[in-house]
Amino acid sequence: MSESNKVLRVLRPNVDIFENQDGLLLRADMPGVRQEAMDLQVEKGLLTLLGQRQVGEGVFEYRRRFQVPRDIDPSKITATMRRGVLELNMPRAEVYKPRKIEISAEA
Amino acid sequence: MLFRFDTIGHTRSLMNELHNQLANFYEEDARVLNQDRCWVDMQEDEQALTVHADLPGVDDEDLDITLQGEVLSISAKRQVQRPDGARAHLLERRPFEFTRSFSLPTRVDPESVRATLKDGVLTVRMDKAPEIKPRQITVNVG
Repeated sequence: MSESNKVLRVLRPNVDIFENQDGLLLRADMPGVRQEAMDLQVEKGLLTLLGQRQVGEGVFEYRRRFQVPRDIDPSKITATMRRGVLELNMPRAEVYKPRKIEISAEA
Repeated sequence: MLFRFDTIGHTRSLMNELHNQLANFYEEDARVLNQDRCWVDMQEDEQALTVHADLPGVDDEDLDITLQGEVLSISAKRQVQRPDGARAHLLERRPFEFTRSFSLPTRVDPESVRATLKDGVLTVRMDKAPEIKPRQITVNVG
């Protein structure tokens, strides 16, 4: 992302967030944002989505922030960009996943 | 002339001004931020008309573009898929299915229409009909 891009507008992308046992799935509409122009960061439990879209001489900037739940492992987050939709997979850390504990048979 | 500085009145007028500016700011933003409707713009230069439409998440096969005379129609749909067994925390991305038609400001050459869908943005470029393109006329000196 070039620093010289003049931000003409800041847009708030529409977002879906789903949750199941395995973790969270986030999708964000960011039409016009190329994969290289996407910047994702997790810092101190805050997820920041930043995407720039070239519009004439400047850029429109999509911005959104979310609190990441404690049970999500930031190092396991993966992202894809397809047809202007960002998809983030945020798996739950193994220690937080529900687990069935087997009882060992008596010796 | 001496007068008492009216602190409360002054603060109130400042607050009103701030309030108005904020209201303008939000109103202006709301126009752009409202993505419920597909965002479309049309540009014209000497040679061509270009239409851009934001269609995030729309696949090629769910997009249909037709040109009939001077009317361009765009039909698109997208579904929003929910993973099995998942509950939703936030649902802002709407599924849609729509057709929007636009009267073009000039006649275009139907053979020249080129449509591309990239990063969720549709671009339709149409050359103006030859008879309405500006033409340089050379004057022959007799």
